[in-house]
Amino acid sequence: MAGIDLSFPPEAEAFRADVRAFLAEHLPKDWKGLGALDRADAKEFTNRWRRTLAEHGMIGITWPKEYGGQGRPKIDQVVLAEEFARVGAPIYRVPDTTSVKMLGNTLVNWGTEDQKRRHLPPLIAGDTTWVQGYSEPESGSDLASIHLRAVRDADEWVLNGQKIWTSCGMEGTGIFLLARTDPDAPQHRGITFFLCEFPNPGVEVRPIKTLTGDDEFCEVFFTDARIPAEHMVGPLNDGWKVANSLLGLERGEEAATNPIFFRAELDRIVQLARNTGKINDPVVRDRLAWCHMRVEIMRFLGYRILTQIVRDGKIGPAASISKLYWSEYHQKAVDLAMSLLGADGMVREGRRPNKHFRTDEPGAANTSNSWIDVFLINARSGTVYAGTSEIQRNILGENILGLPKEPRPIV
Amino acid sequence: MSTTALTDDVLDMLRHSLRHVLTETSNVPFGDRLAELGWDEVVADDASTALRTLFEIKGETVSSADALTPTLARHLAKLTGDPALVGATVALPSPNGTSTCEGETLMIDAIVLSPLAATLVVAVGDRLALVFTEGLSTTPMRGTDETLGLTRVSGRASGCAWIDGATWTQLETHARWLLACELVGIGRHVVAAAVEYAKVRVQYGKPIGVFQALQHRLASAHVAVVGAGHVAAEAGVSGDAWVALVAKCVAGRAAEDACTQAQQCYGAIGFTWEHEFHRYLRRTYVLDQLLGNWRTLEHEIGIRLQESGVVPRIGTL
Repeated sequence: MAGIDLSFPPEAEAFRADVRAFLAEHLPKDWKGLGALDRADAKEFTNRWRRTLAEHGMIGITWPKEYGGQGRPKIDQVVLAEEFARVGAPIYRVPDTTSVKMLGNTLVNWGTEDQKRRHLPPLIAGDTTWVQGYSEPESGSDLASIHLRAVRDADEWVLNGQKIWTSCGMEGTGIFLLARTDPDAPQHRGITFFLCEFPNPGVEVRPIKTLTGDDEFCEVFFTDARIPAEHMVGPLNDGWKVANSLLGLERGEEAATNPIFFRAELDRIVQLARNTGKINDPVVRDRLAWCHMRVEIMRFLGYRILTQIVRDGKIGPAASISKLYWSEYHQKAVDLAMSLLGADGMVREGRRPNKHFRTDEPGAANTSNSWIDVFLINARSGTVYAGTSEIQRNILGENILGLPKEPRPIV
Repeated sequence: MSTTALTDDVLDMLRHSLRHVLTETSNVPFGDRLAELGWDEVVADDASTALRTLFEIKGETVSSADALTPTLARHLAKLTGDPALVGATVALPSPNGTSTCEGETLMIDAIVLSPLAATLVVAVGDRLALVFTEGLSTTPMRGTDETLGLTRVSGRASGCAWIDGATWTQLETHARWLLACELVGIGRHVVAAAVEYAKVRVQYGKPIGVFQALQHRLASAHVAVVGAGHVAAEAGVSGDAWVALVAKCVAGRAAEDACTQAQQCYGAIGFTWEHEFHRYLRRTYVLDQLLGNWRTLEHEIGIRLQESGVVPRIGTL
């Protein structure tokens, strides 16, 4: 088991000072966190802010300079995310999570020279927005069973099938996806990673209304959708490896920012307990103490992950512990917030959150709307998306504890 | 176990009719539609079975028909022997305050689930007052469950009549029992629907219901709901305030637990508007808040146990 080293390399600390100076210079003077803005203002601010970030080389900082990046070490992205989280400033727009973080980093690792030159600069500028096409109606937890077919036809690939749960699908200028290219190979080995730009006459994107009434997810239908052969990313039939390779860095950012966001949220819950006069209730105090301990443990889980990243450049099995830990913690914390709201939680009032994963933004007021949305979707979906709690426990049981594997069907 | 004057055949027919009347779209007040079914005769035969069945089915169908107001009005009419009260709107106390009486003036702060009738029954402490609704202001409580029609009633009522022969505690006991039955109905449906989903949703080449991780979630939820159902049934038979309080507490917690376990089985589809699940989740939250959520009721149970030093017996235990 890896130890915990709380120190970052001196170069990363120097970069941290630069990031702090940047934030001090560029954030509005009365900045209280993105959550202090209402939905429309937050969107407008984020779009403006994102342009400022791109202009000052604060997006894609680990990417090579020739593609518009800054060529910085990977740990610097973690430092940046951490410093931005501390002041409640976004590191980009919500759809950039798939666009910059997922696709951008995948292309840096696996893209051809042409792909990098063509796609990375507009990703940094925010001119393109790529959404994720992994899940299918029949392939959720069992992602490797995907059915969407890609068949080679001269200089093109022809796509047929369906993707679902594509976040921000309506805002996408393209979708990166996993498709089955060899139906005869073992499941994980017959999959390839592709890019499909919109509009495409063979592609139809339909919104799915979430339980909060928002158009957050989409389903994407492919009917003889043709894409150029050069839009394949990484080796043929090796898409599973391509898709999984970016998880390390993604989890590294989370390891640094989760404790900050959950701490800020817990501060709001404590405030809520004060506002509602329930702060002296022993049961409430007990639950608050429980939350506090979990958030502190989350910090140390995060430090351990960061230590591994700094030392080995990869994250290891701690990722499953971390995912399980924060997602199950979050449901309990938000249940506490809702029980503090009590009957006030029946009536929607005030600003609604901008995003439907993790916590509401730092700076958010304790409005019922903030907590109702976070209760209905953010907290409850946390144990489902990006690998359910059941999948995480299977990974922990089988890959970390070394228990015998659960019987699986022969495919 | 209690015996019922209603035979199985009659109960089956009743369930069928109630399911229909709870889910149809109609502008006729729900109490009137119930009356057309010959509801009062059924209740006269076996009130606890009839009402439990009505509210369980209301929970199972997540119906937005307001069965609570007319049921409470009928109960009040029976307690007082005043049939005119059947037509009144019975209000629940506002969670953030209560109606108060100063001299001749009644300051009203209450919640209703139906459009206001000409007269309103409100609790002032443990007493019940009948007031005219003209001049009172209403504010829809839009939010977590939009379909429930919760409305806040407030204002000054001049001229009210105190109702003799019934107390708020009696109405609250009745209402807590009915809400417990509804929450049990929700829990029962939510578990059953998730079980059906787990049988047909295939991952790794098998229905996900074969995985013990999900079996255990649903089995635990089932145990909670079955237990809550027994306490709710006893609350109806006994008419006891303590049992009704325990029943509401246990049912709120069981329904919440059922929702949590079921949602994890549904995965992403459970977060969509088109799937029915979210209606049950929202309804559970709001019903749990009415007349004390399970956490505050647990607190109350603890205080009473501490004060009395005696564990009350429920039913024949």
